[in-house]
Amino acid sequence: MNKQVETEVKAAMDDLRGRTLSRMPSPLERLIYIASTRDYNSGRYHHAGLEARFGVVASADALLSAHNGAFAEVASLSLGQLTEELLIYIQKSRERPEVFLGSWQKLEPFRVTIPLHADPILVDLFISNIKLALAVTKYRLRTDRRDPSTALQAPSLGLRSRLQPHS
Amino acid sequence: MTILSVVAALALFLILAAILAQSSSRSSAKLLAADLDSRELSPDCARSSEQILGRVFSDEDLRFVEGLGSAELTIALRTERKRLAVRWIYRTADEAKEIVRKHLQMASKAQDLRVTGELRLGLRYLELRLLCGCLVVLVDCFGPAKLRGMAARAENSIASLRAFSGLVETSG
Repeated sequence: MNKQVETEVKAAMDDLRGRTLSRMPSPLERLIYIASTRDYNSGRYHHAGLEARFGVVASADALLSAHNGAFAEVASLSLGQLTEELLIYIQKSRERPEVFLGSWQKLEPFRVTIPLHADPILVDLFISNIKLALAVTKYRLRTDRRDPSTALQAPSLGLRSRLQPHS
Repeated sequence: MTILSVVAALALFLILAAILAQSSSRSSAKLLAADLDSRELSPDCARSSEQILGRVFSDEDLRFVEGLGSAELTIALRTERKRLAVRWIYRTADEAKEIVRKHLQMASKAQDLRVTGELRLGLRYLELRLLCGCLVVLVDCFGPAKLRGMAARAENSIASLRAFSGLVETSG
């Protein structure tokens, strides 16, 4: 990579962090957002705003680098932290938790968030942890229904009311 | 006597068929895994190895799941972590084998071999293989959560083997 491209990539990364990613405090949300800028067929990243300012190559490199970073961050979260991340994401999705959990367990949409050249064991760990976090969330949802006094704690307070049995 | 011969021939035929079936399934598995194998030993793997080690050989997640009070979840976590730990150990052992294989290839052409350096490499390799063998057995018996120290030692050994091979490659 020559010096000019390197500078452009760095500027594109700073721009991506400053304008977009800084508004997403959740690492899981950041990962899903960055992965959504990747074309499934070619594996190339596209972001209209970044491309207009920094060009196609620098924009794609910045997104690739941000994707690898976000993936590594989520893959190394503890199971407790990942479960909280998942709860926040469910809350933001505005979908009923039971429906969300059911579709994530069956369709496994989280697999599309994996970077192309990620370490296979890190990928294995990521998938394993997401599946476990889904199972933990499902378990907590069931126990909360049986005993509302142990209902999910913050930051899932918004979700809490939606986890109560419908009367 | 004739019946005995027929039974023996049939048994031999079955053994041969089983061997042929096994070798063909092994070669097709190899074909499908070819890409994965080459990625498994890429330099990026070395970077994420510590990350994997920190999560898989840690008891933090086990304590979290045990706190939930679900035996099913605890068993699921233990099984998953055991599987991941064994995969990491085998990859570490494979990487060491690959480093030594490459080194032996280069050493066979080298003019200025240093005996102490070669001996040190050999001992480090043997120590790592022994460590990996013990880790597989211990992980299988007790799970990876309490074996972080041993796994970290294996990681240090593979890191020094990597550094050694890098040093030889740049000087050669």
